Amino acid sequence: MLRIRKILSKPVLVHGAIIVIALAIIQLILDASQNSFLLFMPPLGFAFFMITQFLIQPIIVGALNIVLLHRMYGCEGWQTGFWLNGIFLLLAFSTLTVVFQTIFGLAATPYILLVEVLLLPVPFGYLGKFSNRGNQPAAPQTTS
Amino acid sequence: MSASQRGSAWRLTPRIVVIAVLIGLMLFAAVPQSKAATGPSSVEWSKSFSGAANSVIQTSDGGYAIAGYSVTYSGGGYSTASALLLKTDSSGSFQWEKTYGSDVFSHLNVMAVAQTPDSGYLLFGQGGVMVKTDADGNVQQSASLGMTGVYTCVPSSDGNYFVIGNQVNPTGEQVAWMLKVNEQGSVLLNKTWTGGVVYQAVIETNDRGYALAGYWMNDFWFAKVDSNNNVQWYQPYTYGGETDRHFIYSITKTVDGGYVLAGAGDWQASGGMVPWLIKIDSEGHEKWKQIYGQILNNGFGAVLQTADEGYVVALSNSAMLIRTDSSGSEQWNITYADTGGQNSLYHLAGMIQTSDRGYALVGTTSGGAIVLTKLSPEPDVTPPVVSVSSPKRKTYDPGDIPLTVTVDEPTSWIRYSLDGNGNVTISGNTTLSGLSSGEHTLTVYAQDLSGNEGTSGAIQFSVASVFPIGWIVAGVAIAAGAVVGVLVYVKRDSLKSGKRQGLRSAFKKQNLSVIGNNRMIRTLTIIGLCIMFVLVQLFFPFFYFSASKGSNSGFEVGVTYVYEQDTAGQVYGQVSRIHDLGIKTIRVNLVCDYVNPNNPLNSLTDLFFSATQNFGMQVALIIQNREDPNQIRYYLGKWGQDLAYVQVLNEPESASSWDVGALFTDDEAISLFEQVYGIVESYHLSAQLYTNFGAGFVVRSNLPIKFSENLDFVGLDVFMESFLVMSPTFIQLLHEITNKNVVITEFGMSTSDDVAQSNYIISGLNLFKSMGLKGCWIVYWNSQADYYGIRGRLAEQKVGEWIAQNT
Repeated sequence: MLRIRKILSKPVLVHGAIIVIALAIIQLILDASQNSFLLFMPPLGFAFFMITQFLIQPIIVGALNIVLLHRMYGCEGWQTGFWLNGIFLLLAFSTLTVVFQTIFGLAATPYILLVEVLLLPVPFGYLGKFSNRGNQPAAPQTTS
Repeated sequence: MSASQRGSAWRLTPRIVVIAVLIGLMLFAAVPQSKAATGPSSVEWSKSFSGAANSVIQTSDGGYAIAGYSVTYSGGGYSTASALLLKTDSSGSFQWEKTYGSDVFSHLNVMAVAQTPDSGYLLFGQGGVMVKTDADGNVQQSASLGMTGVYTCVPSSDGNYFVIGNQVNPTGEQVAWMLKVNEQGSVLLNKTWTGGVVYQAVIETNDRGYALAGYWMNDFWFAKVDSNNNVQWYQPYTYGGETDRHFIYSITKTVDGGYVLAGAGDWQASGGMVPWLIKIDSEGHEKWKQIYGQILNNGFGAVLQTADEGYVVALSNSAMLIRTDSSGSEQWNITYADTGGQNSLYHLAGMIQTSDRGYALVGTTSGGAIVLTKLSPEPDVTPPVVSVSSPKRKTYDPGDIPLTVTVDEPTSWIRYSLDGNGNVTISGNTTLSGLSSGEHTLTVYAQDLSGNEGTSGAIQFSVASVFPIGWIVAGVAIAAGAVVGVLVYVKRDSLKSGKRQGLRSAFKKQNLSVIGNNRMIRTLTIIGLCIMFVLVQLFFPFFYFSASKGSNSGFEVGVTYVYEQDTAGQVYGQVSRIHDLGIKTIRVNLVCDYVNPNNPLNSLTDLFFSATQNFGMQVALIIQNREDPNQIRYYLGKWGQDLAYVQVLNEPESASSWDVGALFTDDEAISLFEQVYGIVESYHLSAQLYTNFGAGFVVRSNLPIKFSENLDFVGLDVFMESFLVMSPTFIQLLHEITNKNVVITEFGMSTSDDVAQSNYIISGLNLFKSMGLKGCWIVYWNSQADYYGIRGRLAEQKVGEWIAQNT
């Protein structure tokens, strides 16, 4: 119990929760607008959808992760680029979505996303931290 | 003749020959052609027995059973009649006979006999009593048909019997009746006709309906009835004056879907009754008639069509058989029995084709003798027709090419010659292997059992050049070796110093945490994990569903049956075979001819639907992308109500456009869909509509989204093993964008490896069932041009076993 409380009190939970909620919201928006994209001036809509899903979305998620790292852990800069960091988190999230959908046979995405929001904050907190720790700020040095 | 004159004559001669040949060809073309008959049959044997015959059949042991009656004379001029069943062996020698008294038959006369599957017999008495006997003629049971005046009976392909007769009601009304009965005597169908119609012949038609013939007033009369017992059309055929009498005694189906009517009619030019032969098409329109005016006081009592589309007809009052060509003109005739010089008193009872393709005829002489005669088969002088459906005149990719040959009759051998090389004997369809790139010429020969040789003619095809993968790999390897060699040479100093320091020093200077914090290593790790995630997304659903055994009771297996590649005689049996496997749905091409309704293709489709209805199977119709709208309308108007599913277009996202080499544009595809959908909707069918898509829908997903607004479900076609592995992802995506159920509408593998094909299909069935899909339709049941067909292969057996265990 104490251990669980300790884990929950960590910034990693907050970090993970924000990442997972952001991913879930983006996924819901993309699902809702998918057919509108695909029907828009084919095949331009398809290209826009691909760009949105695999370029813009990862950059947003990657940037969010880096901002959170800076705020919560006092890091500076980044080791992994915005896009790569974002696509890593996106792929991890969508892979788990596919696995849940397959195993539980849940076709409706909102239910899957709800389950993920409840289950995944801690793992994604660690994944977010692992994927881009940035650099620790340099220790102040005395000049005298 | 001088030398110059001789030269002029030699120059003229070729021109004269050419002109003569051309004139000859024109004359030949101008004369109506009819297929010539072959040589005459001969009498093999003729046997006489006491009694009178009404009917003859060939039995399962090759012998003959004759039904009729016998008369026993006793002292004082008294005679006793008995109903009779007489059995001979295959050479006409008497085996046994059974006589039946009034305790069995109310009228002591058996009009027709049929053999039952247990080798027993069904006897139809003139008074309307039907008797079942064992194989020795002992009575087992009897039943009343409820009608009197039985005339004849013919078995139907579904194991039942068409019985016809004519009775006069107590009110004096003449009733012509037809009953379709089963072996127990239960009436399945009946069709009566009043107003003077008399039935004298009945046959089952290709669509599992039947045709009735006889006479009405003084005219020939014919009626066509469908398998649901609805009269499709009927027609009296009126000739001569009002008092001229005309009777049909026998009818037969013809290979063009029509019928030939044989009988007798008054012919004033001859001064009496003469034999008539009339050809009609499937709608009853007369095509030709032949009146044998030189044979007075006689008629045609039986008719059969021959393999060369001619006819054999037997006279009803003479022991004579006439062979005609396809237009009914006499080719030869034979007097087949000695009836004591009293031919005019001979009465024909029946003619059948025997299992050796000869003929057996039975009749009764005025002296009270039954005469059974066997005629030999006609000598076969027609070469077999050899058809090659693969290879075709096209360019093939390098590799094995199937050699698919069809011969229209049994053969003693089939051989092929490739590029003029020696003949290779084959036992059936095979594969051409090891073909070099370039042009090839193939000729297939076949010899029938009579020694006639047929050829396919030269078939030219080509094989594309092999992509030089070996050379490319070798080139890359040589280049890589050269690069490594150059690098080693350039870095030779560094390598020497590294060798001096040793490999361990490279690791001593760092620890794992340093490696973990290394920016490049972290980036590579994340890229590696990304690749792993992608692979999991692609393959996890396949392995999960393949391993699981989810319950899905609604899952149904279907198959695409290209019945137009089979003969009319095969279709019913094939549908039965598909049904026996447990397959619920048969998917078919749109096969019909709206221009010529008499085209045998239409009869074939009639036959197919009759079979599917009989077995309670669902039919899915494929409307291809370039189907003629008139063809669609004709098909839907005729068979639309029998369809369970209609496929509107076929893989439109990858179909080629009107412009060669391009795909349909979106506008083209949508306009085509709307056109076909509009036609289908106008028929208000109960069928569910779908369109099938291939993997290409992923990049043209606007088409399934747009089409699915008007569809009941969407189809996905899965072919390659690689696509099967990724199919769960595609199925989920297709379902997601269309919000419609997905059915696997084409699933198969073209390979000559039976085991690989079978494994592929079974793994797919397991996968799709576990995924909760509604169904999976296999392609194909039969396929002449490739190796997709499962008929007669391991996959057929395995699919049957799988269905038995899983649905």
